[in-house]
Amino acid sequence: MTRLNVYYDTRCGLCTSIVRWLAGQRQLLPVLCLPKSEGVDDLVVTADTGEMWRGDSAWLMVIWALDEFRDLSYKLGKPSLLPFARQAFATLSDNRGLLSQWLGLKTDEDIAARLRNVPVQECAL
Amino acid sequence: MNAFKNYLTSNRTKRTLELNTFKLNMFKKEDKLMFIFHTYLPYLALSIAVTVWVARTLHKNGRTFLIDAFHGNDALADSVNHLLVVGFYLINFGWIVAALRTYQEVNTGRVLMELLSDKIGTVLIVLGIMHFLNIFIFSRMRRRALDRRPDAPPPIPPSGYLHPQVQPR
Repeated sequence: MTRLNVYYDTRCGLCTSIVRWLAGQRQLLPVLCLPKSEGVDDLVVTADTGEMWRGDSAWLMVIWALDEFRDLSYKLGKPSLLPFARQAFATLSDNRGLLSQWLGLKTDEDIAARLRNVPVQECAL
Repeated sequence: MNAFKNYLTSNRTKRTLELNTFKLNMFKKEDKLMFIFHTYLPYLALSIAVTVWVARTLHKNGRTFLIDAFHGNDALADSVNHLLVVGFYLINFGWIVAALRTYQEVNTGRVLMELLSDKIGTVLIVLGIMHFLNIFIFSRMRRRALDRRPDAPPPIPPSGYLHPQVQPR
């Protein structure tokens, strides 16, 4: 396994913020974040070896790829903590729209639209 | 002094001057010193010897753990090993000399033995705790390194496969 692809919801501010945060973290294997397909409602992670993870398993794979959180990902993957991890992810995932609103997290689309509406003064020269 | 019914007697064998109201043990100072001397010295000697032995054990055997933890980087492993051993010596020698003092009056062989065993016992227990702490540190560093190998397994099995798996030969 040499790389991971993460398919996330581009219409969710929370997801977009996390993707941006991921780019700044030290990754033990390269993680490429791509927009998800329309029909899919789960977070999906695929590896170049053909394996695929959905939902909370996908989330565990994402933190497994980060240097700082690899130990945490193994701990959460153990049977003792896995139900808690699943629950936490399910809660975050189901309420991502609400959370994005509360925390004021914007998607790329929102920011682009906002920027388009900024009046630009004509250059005097 | 006899008005108060106090009388002074001298005892040649015991080398004391005894006043019946209280014993003035003027010449017993060396004996007292002997006893406490015979407690402090063996305590120090034994504690230091055992500390040095444990430190050398950790230094020698911990090196293997650390080399594995630092992916074969000998220089780094030796450096961290040395630092850990210095810390180990500091804490243990510090504890040994700080715990040396006793307020117990050591006058008999029995008290000497009991005090000695008490003190040495505490030192050995502290050494044991430090020893296990060191081993815990070593194994945690190695675990971290092992988990970050390129072929480390994922934390959970996959939910599915994109295309039929080719079984590695």
